[in-house]
Amino acid sequence: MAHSGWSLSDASRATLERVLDALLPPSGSFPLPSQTGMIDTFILQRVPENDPDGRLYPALDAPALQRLLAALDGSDDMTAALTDLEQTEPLAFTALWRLAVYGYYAQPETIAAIQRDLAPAYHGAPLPLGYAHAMAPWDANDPLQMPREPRGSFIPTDHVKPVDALWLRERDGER
Amino acid sequence: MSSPLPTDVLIIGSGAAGAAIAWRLSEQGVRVVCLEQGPWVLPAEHPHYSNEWEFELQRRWGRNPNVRQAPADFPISSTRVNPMLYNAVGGSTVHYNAHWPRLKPVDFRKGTEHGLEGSADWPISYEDLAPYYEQNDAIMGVSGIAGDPANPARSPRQTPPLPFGIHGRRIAEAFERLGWHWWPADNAIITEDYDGRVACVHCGSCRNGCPRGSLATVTWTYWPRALRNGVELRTHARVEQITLDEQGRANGAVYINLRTGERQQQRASLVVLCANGLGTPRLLLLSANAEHPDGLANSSGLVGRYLMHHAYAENTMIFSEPIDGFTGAYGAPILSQEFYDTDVERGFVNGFTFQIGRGMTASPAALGLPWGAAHRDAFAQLFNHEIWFSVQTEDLPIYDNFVALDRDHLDSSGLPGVTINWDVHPNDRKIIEFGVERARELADAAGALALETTGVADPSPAWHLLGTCRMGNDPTTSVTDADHQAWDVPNLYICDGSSFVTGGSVNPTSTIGALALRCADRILARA
Repeated sequence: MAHSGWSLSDASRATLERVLDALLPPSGSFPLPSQTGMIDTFILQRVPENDPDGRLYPALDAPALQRLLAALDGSDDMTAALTDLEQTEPLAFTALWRLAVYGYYAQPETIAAIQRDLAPAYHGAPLPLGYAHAMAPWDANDPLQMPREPRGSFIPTDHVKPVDALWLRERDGER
Repeated sequence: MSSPLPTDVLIIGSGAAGAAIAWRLSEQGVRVVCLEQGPWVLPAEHPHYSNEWEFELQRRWGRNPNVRQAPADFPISSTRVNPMLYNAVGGSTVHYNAHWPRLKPVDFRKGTEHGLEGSADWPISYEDLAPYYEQNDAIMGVSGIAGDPANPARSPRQTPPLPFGIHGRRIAEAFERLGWHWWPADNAIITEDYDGRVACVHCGSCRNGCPRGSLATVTWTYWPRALRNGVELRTHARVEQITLDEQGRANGAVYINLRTGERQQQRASLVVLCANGLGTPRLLLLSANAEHPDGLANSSGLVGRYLMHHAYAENTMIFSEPIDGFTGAYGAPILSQEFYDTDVERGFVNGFTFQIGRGMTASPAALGLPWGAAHRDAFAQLFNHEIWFSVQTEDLPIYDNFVALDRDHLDSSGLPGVTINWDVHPNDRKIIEFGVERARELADAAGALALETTGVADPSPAWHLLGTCRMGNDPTTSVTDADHQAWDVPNLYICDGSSFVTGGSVNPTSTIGALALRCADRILARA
């Protein structure tokens, strides 16, 4: 698959798959991240090849990601390794976590799982479908869409009167 | 430096105010040029048709220019504020939620009411502005229903209110139980086809803008009208200085063509500055000269002062059953102004508005949850089970809350960015604390399992940028007069969020549009 200009070695890809699967392990009909196409369709596309200053969201460029993967490579217990990373390099971990979440929940397989398990109407990309099909139009005759006994009032501009705010002024030590 | 042909009126900034003024003046045959530092944003550029739209909201469509870092953006430094604005044709209406409440009449007389800190009366009244609110609504297209007794009467809304959904009905029922004020909110989002634009399909991604044009970005409302009238809208044109003639009158601006780097001077008989609550004071300060060493129009020393952007608590109710919070336009379907007006027995002045929003979509819901084995269950319990709502408070205008030039951080043309100094006043902190307690009552009445709250949001979301060139009746305590003309510089008008004297506790864009139409009429009247 074409990507943004950088690639992962087989070893790094295998480590990344283990990282993602440890961050977002399966449950119900949700897929393993490694079973989706998120590495090729998202991570390799969205992580910039070179952003050493971390200017671009998610503040993780290809060398930084590859450094993290090299550090995690060979970890027998990936959950423990990620826990350690979270504590020792919280910013790098957060960037990795964001990348995992935004990539995973954008995958068609994940969206299908949300539809099956949690929200039948959910469909990922907001348009072109929208949610008009899932929401009844506003209904003035529904007693929960108009106040039963409307309340509230206002004072015309020129009828506004002073309140006694002196004690508040003194309490807050007006600057 | 080249100089295009002079024009009658030069408008700087093409957002909610600049667009409305351009249209109104051009309706009367005035020749208008508008300079906009950003580009047009085309419908196909919005990320709505991609499953990655949530990710794009964090970068290309990020609201904070420091994150987005587009060529037209300028750096904004602050430790306490999360600034949100957009530099493109349409300004921040390109990616706002289009909540459309109006200020209440009392908001125009906070000097009379209590006068705390920099609170002062506006030089105009709600009643002065009311006809302009109506005209602006008709152009923008507003969903809602007239009749709210907590506000002055208004004409029938252009389309019916936004759908409530399961979540909206649930909250409405809670308000009924509590006996608190609530009303189907006005939003500049059309629910039926209107004025050549198509109805909203409630996709929920308003924060990425609206490629359909259902949400009233001024690129879909005022600009087509203004362009038909012959207004010249010049994009990628970053103004670096407003220029004066020998008599000290504004006579144009020098700008940088961001495509070529070339400097050009646009001359005009009159200049209207509409660059928002940060960009407007920035440009006035950048325009300092020998006669105005502290910045243009700044003899009062108030350019950049009294920054307001509303103080917030963001709250989330979590329910045991699915509530379809991911459906529906991000505009607020319901608002409550039960606690809007001052009651000093509460221990503070001013008040707040409850805005009932929607729920989170998948990725934002997942981000805050634990990773690993606990993630799936936590996600299942949160996603589609929560509703976001805000306690939006008026923040007092405070002299020490200000925006100033930041010469350490430069934009892509080498011009200084801005730095923001802002803190929450004790009065406003008390409003939020009071509001969060009322939020707990609302959550209980709605049968929520839990309420999560930010308390006083820190950093504070600064999507409303107000007060930094306040209008007034006294040149020593304001930057412009009641007609928006700068006290110090004849022929220089300033109209946008910076014109606000106080901020109310409502979203400002409907008021900005109304002020702009009135400003245009005052310009025409003085011509």
